[in-house]
Amino acid sequence: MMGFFYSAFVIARRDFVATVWSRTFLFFLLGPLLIIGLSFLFGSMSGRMARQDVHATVAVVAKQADFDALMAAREHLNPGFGARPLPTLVREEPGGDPAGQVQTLLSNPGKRILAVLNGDLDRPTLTGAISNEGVVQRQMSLIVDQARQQRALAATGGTGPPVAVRVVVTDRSEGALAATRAITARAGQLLLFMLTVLLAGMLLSNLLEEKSNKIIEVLAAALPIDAIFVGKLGAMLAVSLVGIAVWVSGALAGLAFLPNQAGSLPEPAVGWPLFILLVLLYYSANYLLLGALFLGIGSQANSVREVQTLSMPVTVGQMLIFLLASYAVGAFNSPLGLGAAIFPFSSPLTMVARAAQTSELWPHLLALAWQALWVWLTVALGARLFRRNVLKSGGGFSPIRRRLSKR
Amino acid sequence: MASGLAIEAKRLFKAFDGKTAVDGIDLAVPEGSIYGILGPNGAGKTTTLRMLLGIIDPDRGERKLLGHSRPLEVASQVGYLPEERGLYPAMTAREAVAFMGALRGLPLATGRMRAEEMLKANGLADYVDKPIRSLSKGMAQTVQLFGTIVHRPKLIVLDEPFSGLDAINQGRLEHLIRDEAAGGATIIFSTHVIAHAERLCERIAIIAAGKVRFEGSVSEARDRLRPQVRLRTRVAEGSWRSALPGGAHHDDGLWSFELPQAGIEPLLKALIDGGAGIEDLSIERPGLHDAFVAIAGEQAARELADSAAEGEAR
Repeated sequence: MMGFFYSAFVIARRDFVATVWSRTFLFFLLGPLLIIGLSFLFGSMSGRMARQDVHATVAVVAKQADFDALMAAREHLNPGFGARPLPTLVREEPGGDPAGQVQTLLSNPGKRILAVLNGDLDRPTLTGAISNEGVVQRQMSLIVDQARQQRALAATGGTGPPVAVRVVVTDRSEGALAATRAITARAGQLLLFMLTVLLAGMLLSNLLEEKSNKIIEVLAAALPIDAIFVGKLGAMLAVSLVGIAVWVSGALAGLAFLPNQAGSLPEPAVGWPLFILLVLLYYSANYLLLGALFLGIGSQANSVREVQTLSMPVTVGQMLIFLLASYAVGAFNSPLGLGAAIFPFSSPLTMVARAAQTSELWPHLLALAWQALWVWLTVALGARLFRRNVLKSGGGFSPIRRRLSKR
Repeated sequence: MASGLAIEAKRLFKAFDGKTAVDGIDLAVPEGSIYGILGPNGAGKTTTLRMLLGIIDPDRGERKLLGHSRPLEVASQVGYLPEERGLYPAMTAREAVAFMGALRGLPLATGRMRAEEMLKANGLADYVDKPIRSLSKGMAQTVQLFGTIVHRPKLIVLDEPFSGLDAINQGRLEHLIRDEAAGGATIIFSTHVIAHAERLCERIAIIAAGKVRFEGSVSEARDRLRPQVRLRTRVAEGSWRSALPGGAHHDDGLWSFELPQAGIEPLLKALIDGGAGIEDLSIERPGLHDAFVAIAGEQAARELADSAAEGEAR
């Protein structure tokens, strides 16, 4: 009898070559690169547009002295608002008809005024297409209030020196490290999730070709069904790794051209080399686990339409698993965290986050062995369902016993 | 298991959704023989073959393939052409044959080499590196057949191999089956075309409604019936009529009846003495078709004819 792994290899080799040497594989490779490129393009455009749209200009109808006081207050407060600066103030000379002037300013397309502040500092009125108690209203109130405080202090002659906060910078603090490593943890989870969603879905329709071309009968007569399943899983994992290698190479090439665009993630607890290795291992485990499930589910489908119908619940299921794993970040020893690490389908996502946040290695060995066991069980179950429901073989005994009996 | 049997099945039983497909079938296929399973569509032929090959498990009963009760253990020594043909459309003819060999443990390089030889030897030299989707249906079937035997199996299982082939390709296939058997392989094939079984098989099983109605040599099947006598006389009436056996029937001037146990001589004497005027007298050994009708019944024979017509149309 041919060995189980040789049988799986024959199937894997055929599937891998057939997939990688097809024209559609080029589109498969280009697809995510296009998505990333377009995301950059639209992200940059919409970011610029958003910045243009959001930044507010408020016209201040006031005497020069009042305006200067408001400007000084704005300059004093503005650094504290970081990426969302206070509204830009422009002065307008008070006219004879305050209400008319406000309307004129608001309707002037050239000035792009969001709101008009008039009245003096003690009785200010803000008019514009803004919400009551909204950000612009609160920010302008703050500026006016600061200007009034300054004026009052000046009147009493008691302007004290500004308070300078002394800052002491340390190399690390656990709170900061935990917070920053959580970013790496979530980034790792997201990467794993996105790659699996993108790639494992293909397995839903993987046996459709064999079923529609009637080749399955030839395969089933020559090889154990579970070897066929393992071969298909292995081939698609290899295809996905080729895709990832191409995308990573593309991304690195892109960064070489745009060196300043690279963001940096905090170093994971296990260190970068081991973390990258674990990401690859957990990706493979996640892919094989979900892939085995999808292959089993998809093998029951008889048409593309049935596969499409199955896709949505499968994607929703993946989202729920991602959600469960997300909750475990930073709380690995909580019941939820342990549950997410033990539940086989959320285990890879949870454990990759753990690798980012804690340096212990033994839980990873345990988790990988646990996930491998579940891959095997899922394949065996999928193969059994396939034999029972598709090949109509009503064997009543368990897949484990079947494997042991080496049919 | 008795030695010298390539296949042995005992009381195989299979039901799908409560409906019995195969009902206690026994088979014994001698090594090196050409064995036919004859029966109409739905008789249980394909289900029997699938159980023998291990594609599906029987609900009850035992099977042995080349002496092994686990068919996949001897997969490398078995070739199988399923009823529903299937190949990967994007594969070339050479790769398809080599891939099917690889499924049975043949190294890919050897498979490619043999594939080229087989295709060239059978007039398909121009199609060696053409994708399957560009071949005619007959060519694709030939490619699949080569894929079935490229690893030189000891046992070749063919499910309705003649279905969908034109007369020329049917002749080629018969030739190939004889060649493989001459080389020592055991061939078992299912068919609903009696002529193929009659020409090729040393032994047959007649299956109807999931049961084996007959299992033995073609000659034994034909011997189930007495030889048939055809008689035409110049004179319609006479004392000789009383010498005709009870089951004789008259149609368009021709008498047909089974050869009497006493032989033809007493009848001949009566015909001559009675002045019947013998115009035509023949004694024919019954064909397999007659044997099939006698064994499986008129209804099964009609279904067999319908199945054959469907197969021709396919």
